[in-house]
Amino acid sequence: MTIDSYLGELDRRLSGCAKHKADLLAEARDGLHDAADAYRAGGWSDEDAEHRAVTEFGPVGLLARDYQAELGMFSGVRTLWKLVIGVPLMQASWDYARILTFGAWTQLPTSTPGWYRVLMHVSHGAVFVVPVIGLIALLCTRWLSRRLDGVRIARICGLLIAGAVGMNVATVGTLIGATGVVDVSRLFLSVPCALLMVAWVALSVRLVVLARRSWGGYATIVT
Amino acid sequence: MKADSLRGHLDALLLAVLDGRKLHGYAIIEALQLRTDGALDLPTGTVYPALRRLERAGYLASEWDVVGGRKRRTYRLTRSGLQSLAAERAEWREFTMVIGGVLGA
Repeated sequence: MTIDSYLGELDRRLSGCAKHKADLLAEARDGLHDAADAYRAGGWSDEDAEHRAVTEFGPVGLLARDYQAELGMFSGVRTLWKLVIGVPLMQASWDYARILTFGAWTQLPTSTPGWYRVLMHVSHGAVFVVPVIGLIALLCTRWLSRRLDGVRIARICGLLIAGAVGMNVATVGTLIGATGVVDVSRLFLSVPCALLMVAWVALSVRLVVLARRSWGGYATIVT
Repeated sequence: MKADSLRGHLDALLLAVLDGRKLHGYAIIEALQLRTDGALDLPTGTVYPALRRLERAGYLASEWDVVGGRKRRTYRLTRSGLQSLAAERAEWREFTMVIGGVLGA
């Protein structure tokens, strides 16, 4: 097997951020060419030198597992940062826009049922719990990287991301659903509030897609 | 020496090889093989993801550099990496002292 065909096979088995994947493969290519050069210098033919370098590098299946874990971790960490910064930012922006463009809640024309108040308190609390889970996951990732192999870290990180993203979706769904039941017009207090709500939903959907992509990456890890 | 025993200490070995110098992936592998007298018989490709993991752990820092006319990713120890290496060395000294005391020299 030549270096190019080996890397082509490795490339086919990996999924994740294209830029990071290219970076990992470029480093692997350098290492393989360095090894082949060393064998050539030792008197091996071009073909034998490449074959020896590829054999020493390891079976593609084994390597794909480690490289996929690394790719999964990379997208996982990016998802976590989006969650940690994006979710509280959306909540704060919406509240700020509501104060500026609509005013206090006391101006609402319809009454607010008791169950809705409780639900809103819980949901608003959860909005701040989600980034905390994200931060814990980020710290765990760093801490675990010192103690576990890449495959196990990727799986633990995937579970934490799924938990945080799931909680965010549940919170946004509860906020919108319950508000819709009580009074749909509260969802459109002002144009900025409506736009920010759409952005918040879009961010939540994006986080689900990223989490699924990371999880898909971990799921392809061959054990 | 059993290769499995060495593999269990791969992180510490990688940190030790980078102590006081900056190396690219293949140079790290060569240094490992040289220092272990070829006993570390692991697939060389597994070293690269391990280096990335140690970087994420904060023990290593890396950058793309031109070495020997070729663009290569080079790694160096961070302050945390140095501290971890010192701790690994102390732990290893203690371990060999205790086990050596029982098994004999």
